[in-house]
Amino acid sequence: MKIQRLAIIARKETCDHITSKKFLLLLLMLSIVVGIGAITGINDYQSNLDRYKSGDSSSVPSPLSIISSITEVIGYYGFGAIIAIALGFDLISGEKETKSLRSLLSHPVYRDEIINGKAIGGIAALTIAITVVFMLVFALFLIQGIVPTLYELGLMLIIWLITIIFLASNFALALMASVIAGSSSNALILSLIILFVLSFFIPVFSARVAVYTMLGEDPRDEITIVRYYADSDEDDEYLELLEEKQQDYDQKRFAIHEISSLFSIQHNYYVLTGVFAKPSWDCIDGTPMLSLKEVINQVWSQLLFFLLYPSLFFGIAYVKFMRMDLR
Amino acid sequence: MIRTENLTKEYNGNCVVDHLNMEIKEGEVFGFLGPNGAGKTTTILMLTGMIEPTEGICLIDGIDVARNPLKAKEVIGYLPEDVGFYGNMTGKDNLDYFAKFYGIYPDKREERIDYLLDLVRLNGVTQTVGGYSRGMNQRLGLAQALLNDPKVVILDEPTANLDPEGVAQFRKIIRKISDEGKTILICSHILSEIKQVCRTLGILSQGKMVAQGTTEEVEEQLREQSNIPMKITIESIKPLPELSHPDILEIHKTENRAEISVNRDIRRELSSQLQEASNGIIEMHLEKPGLEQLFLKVYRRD
Repeated sequence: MKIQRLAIIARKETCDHITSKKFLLLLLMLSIVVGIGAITGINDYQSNLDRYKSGDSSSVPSPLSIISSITEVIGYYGFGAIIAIALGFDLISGEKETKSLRSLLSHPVYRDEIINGKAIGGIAALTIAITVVFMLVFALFLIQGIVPTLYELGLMLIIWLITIIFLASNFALALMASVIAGSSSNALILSLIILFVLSFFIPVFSARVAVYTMLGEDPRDEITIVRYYADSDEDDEYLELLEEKQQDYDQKRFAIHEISSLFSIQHNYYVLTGVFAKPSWDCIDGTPMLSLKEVINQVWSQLLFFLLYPSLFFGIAYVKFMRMDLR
Repeated sequence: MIRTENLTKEYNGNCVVDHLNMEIKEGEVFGFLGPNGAGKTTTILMLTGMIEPTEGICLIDGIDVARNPLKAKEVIGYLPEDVGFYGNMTGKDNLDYFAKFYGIYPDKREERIDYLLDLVRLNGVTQTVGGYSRGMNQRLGLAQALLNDPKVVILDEPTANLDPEGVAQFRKIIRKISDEGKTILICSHILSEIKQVCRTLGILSQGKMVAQGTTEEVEEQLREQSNIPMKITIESIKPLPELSHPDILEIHKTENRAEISVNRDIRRELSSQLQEASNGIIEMHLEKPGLEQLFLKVYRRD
């Protein structure tokens, strides 16, 4: 792989993305939705500040709470996934359809340079999009006279980085689908199916199935009945036993849900950005209560899965593309 | 310039190209023929370094393509069948993008692209490739195949989608680049086209080269396989005598004229027989079956 050839492809891909109507339209939509979210967040921030100033509240509001409005739109409402998938789903399948891939490969360029260049170009375009959105929110901060501290700016930068990785995950998912599927429409459907399975099917549906099959019936119903009819010491002892059983059940159910939620890119993004956007480890007199290392220790499993996904999706896309039949 | 040794490609146990041995000399214009599914495109993809052979080697200008695909691509120009481009870019931008991979300096690049666009009559076209007709696309494909001023030009169905004027223009370009000493391999189904531009031919069937040589040599090889007889037409001054020869298959005779189906050219023998009968010959000519007829006879899949 040669850097010059990689750069030629990456530059072309980035230009193609950022000058496409699709990208500009999605960026406009994202900016409007994030802008509205940010204005609502700013209003909440101002009223919280007023309550703090009047002594009604003891906690100082943080501009970071406004940032959570961005991450909510990008993660929870799925705008990030939509943009990333929209940019990636036809990258390879589209070239196969228009037959430009064979033309490109007839010139001195390796396949890995093509797939890497396309990935870099797409991630660069997403970085530009998300930077524009963050800059927009930052501009709104300044217009409203909200000046974040250096510490808050640092946290914003971390959230920005997490957001880029989140978008890169979804983009890599679409790129993988684009390599696997025979056509762009199939690639789009495949991307959405995988997204649905990871975001909903595994964390919600299969978690419920796992809870039911592994833990059995929820003891809560039995507790209600026993509590209603309890009239002896034996009943009280049995109730205590059931309550212990329920605690154990709840702990195990929570663990199953936690584990199954790790498969959701959105959930991991939500947890990771939540740690930085709504920090429970906030400062006392400018000194953070917890160190970054301690915070990462709390969310290491989410962080691991969060970083695993783009690598896994891109890895599959890479291997499949290298072995793709060009006939 | 192009040489393959036992070149083989298998897909899921199916041998698509089977121990192919082929040699094309420098400056030759070689026609690569074969029915659909014969393995032509797979061979071309191996020659252009886009897929790796299962066995054997292919050498382009002495470069082992599988080992040095990039080096080989620097001396090859390839026009794929149904060539595709980036529809959102102009023809010039498409060529410029591909030309960057050869490390040509921007001013030289622009000069070369302008020359090629002029050659394929696409100079001054400012619309994006998405709006091109199929013929324009094909002409741009030919320009992209010549971007690096290659020593070897491989053209897969180059005249498909071209109108008669485009075909004539294409022939002119082929002659021009052939005169420059380039080795050209043309893969086509249009046999008349191949016969017009190619000096040598190779016919691939079920992954094997079944006939190779000059156009005449290949015709002869095919004729032997096809068993299509030749036809000798004779017109004499006097009524024709009884003509006999072991290679005569059938005679349709009127008084002074005969159409004789034969296994081989026996004009000399027939001429002697007529001379012996003191008969003067007004006309005697041999009709050989055409390349297309022979090709269809040998490779038609009924």
